[in-house]
Amino acid sequence: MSDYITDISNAVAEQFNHRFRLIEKRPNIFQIYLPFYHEDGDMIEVYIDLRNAPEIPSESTTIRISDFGMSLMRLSYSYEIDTPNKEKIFNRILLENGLRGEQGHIVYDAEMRSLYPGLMQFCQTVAKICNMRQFKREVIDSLFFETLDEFIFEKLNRFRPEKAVIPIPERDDIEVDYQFIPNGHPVFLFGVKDSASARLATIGCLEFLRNDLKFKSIIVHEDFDKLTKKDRNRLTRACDKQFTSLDDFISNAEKFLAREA
Amino acid sequence: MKREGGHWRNNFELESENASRRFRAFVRYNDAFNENFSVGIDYVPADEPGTVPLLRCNGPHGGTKIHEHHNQTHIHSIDAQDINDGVKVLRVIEETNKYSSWEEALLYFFDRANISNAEEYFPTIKTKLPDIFKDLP
Repeated sequence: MSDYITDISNAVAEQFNHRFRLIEKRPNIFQIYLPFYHEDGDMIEVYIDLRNAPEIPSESTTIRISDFGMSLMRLSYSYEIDTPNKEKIFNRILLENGLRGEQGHIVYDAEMRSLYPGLMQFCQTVAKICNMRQFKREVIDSLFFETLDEFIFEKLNRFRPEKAVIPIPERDDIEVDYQFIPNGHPVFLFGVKDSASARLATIGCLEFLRNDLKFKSIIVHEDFDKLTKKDRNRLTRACDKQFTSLDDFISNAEKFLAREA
Repeated sequence: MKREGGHWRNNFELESENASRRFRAFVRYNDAFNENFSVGIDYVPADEPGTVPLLRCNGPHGGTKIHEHHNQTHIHSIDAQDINDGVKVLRVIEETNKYSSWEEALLYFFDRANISNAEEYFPTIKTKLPDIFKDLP
């Protein structure tokens, strides 16, 4: 077994060595080719900037590792950091990984003695930055119901939530997303993320009224402004209370349901 | 082109000639290394969120999985299997010698993506690079 481990060790060392190259891109700026790739097969662009490095290096010499703006350029093909929240996420990724942003460049100053771990850290962080496109709306959108569900069952348990309830037994086509019973009467909650769910919620509330049910209705919107004016108006007429965003619901749900108790 | 941070950029919107399909295209080149550029196009579906990347013409910005230590202009595209699987990544790479600057890549891109009225919006590019048009149909 020790021969095996020796062979593995030698293989990794050899393969790492062979898969590394330095190319001078400009005077005193070197691109370092490392076996780290984006999902599309392009190598992660990493440069060593020696323009301000001392003539004679030592173990403690600071070596600047930089992407020269390539990461944000690549990210911009499909994702823009164009809101304070996105900037906050970007800056937090850099901070948590010990890197800095300088005029669109991502930089890391490593000591010569720890250049290898510095390069690894740099590449990992660049990969995280370039994957910020996973925070695109269509990905986040799909988390609305998961987040709502998590919040309801973690924080609103005392109001006895139940999922997927059919208030009118003969109408199994009309279902509420959640039911609470803070007092004797139920509170029905619909999660609304688009026109289709807005219309279903409207139909549900109107049917309950038509059938003289004793209840209150809550709508939790993923994004109230995303709905058309007509959908908003219809829903407003049909339901009792609306939370215009998930954040709004998370901040105020407990107080609201407590008042119903 | 507009400079933003460490790169220059432009975006433009396209539609099919029968106006039934929409697309989004972009041009980028790095401020420090102009040879690191990208010209690409995404499809914008009408009935679902997000976009589908279709093609990207890259400069010689470094190695790729097909050639680790080789710096060569190359083109990324997507294959049908990836689209069917919902993998929105341009994993097909082909090396090319059809262009060597971002302006040449843009001209090549107009031809490859079949953009019929590019000259209306980029009138000066042909006059800057007349030789490029010698062999184009």
